[in-house]
Amino acid sequence: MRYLALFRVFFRTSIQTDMEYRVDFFSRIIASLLALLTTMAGLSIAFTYTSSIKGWSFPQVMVLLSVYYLMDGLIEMFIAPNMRNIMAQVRDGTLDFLLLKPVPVQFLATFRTVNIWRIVNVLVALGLSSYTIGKLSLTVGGVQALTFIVTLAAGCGIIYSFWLILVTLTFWFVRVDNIEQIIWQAFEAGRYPIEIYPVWLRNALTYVVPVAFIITVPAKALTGQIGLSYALVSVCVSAIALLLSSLFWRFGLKFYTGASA
Amino acid sequence: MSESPHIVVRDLRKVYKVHEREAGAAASLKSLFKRKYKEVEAVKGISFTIQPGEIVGFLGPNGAGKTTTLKMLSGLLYPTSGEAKVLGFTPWKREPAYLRQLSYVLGNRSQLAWDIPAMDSFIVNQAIYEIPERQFRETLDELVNLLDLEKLLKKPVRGLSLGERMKCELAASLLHRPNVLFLDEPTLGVDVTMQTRIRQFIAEHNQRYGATVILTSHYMADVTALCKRVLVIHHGSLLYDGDLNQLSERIAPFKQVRLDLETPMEASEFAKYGDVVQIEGAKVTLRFPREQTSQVVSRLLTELSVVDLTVEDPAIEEVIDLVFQKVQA
Repeated sequence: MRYLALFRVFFRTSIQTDMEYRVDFFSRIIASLLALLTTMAGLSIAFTYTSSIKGWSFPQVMVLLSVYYLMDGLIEMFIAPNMRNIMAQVRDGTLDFLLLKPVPVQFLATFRTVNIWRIVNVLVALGLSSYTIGKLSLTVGGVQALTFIVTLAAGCGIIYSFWLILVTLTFWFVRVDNIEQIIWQAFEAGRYPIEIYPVWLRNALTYVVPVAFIITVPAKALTGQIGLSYALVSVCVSAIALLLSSLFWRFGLKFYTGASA
Repeated sequence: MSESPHIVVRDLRKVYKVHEREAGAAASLKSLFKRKYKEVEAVKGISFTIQPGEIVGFLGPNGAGKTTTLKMLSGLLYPTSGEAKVLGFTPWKREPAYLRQLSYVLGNRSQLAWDIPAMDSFIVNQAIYEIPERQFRETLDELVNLLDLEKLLKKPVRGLSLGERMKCELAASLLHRPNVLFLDEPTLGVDVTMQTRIRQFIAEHNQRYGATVILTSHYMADVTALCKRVLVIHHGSLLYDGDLNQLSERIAPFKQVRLDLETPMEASEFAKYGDVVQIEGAKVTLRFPREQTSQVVSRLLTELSVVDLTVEDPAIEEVIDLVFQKVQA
């Protein structure tokens, strides 16, 4: 409850901050539509030569793409701005202020900011997915919707953990600007069905950087390719990731305050 | 009634491991894989006790160990060895019950969000410290009055001047009515009028709520205006702990005399009386050991043609300077 109340306050002040940058709202709309259209154009060209790629039909790939953009929007809205802040705060020492507060630092550091205009990306992605689902003339039942929401939430937990682990490295190395590059490179691989990649890369994208769980699994849930039991696996992976990243963060924090020596 | 002290520090020590890098590309490349570390003892086992409601000045040159000590007492740094209890808590365990009663203001860093008005940051702090609405309003009204914040609260923080920002910073740090307050250079870069205002405010706040305050400042005026007691730290060791007024007697047992002469004289001619602090035409300031005061003054009066003569204690800045020079030598 306490955390929910705190998050509400954080959310409200974030919106106020972003109202100062209203231009961003319009540039967001244009940028996200452009990105979507160019990827769609590329895909539709590929699909003029074949009706399916590794078992994925064009509409299914479109659903995957919309999940990719949905996830991208959620990351940019809730996760990325906070992770970027942590790196900056370690560099300029303002992380100290978070350590002084009577609230767990991880919560304070990773939920403080919401980048509200990124909601545009989320909405565009949702629009695209409902459109393609209509095209597939799929009816999304209750179980399917539930599976989708659960796997999507699990995916958010996984990418959050992955990013938190990399950000924790700043406690030792201070400057790790390429971290974001690593994350986005891996994430972009999830824009296409994981089956199109060679086996070694597919394994890497499932077990090392679990992009499969972040994008492919929720997309399959939405198109009915997997059932609720599969969602359980996703939730387990996410829970383990959250636990490990939190432990690593605490270990890093100990190093930051000199308690580990 | 004897209350237990708010702050007890015993043999507190902090050793930093500092990454040592030699100049040159080859050395840089080597250090990428194998780093050499050097140990630096920033705080060398200091001990002191502070009673509830005291305002204590923490003095020392840059790198003396002031901030390191304050960081340990606020739980931001883990000590290498030693003990500390603040309000009965071990600071570096960072228990929420302790952090709720603490504030640490750093003059050179801001906890306020840059792009939103200070008022919104206050509301965030209200949520973080779980301050009940009524108490929040009361405290806020008081702070707004004392610090004259009325017009500042609604402007984005980035549009405030340094002094205005500092006032908001102080307010943000005091909303939860901390029992222990660490002020690290609170008047840094602030103009003189504002410095006075901030000083008055700290004194008033301390009287009203009886919070225990440790203050570090480069401006001696801050310390002389607020602190009865000072801790002098240098190279990580505590040199003096006691009354500000006795500091000069204890560590710098000097007196000064300001002379107004009928005719200007050469600096070398004063050597037999004491050290020349300043000479400007016929106005001279001399310094000599405290116990020689009467002897020197009577000799000056008989041997020179004196228009006016004032005996005084050296300025506190000079005493501090002397202390640090003495230690370095």
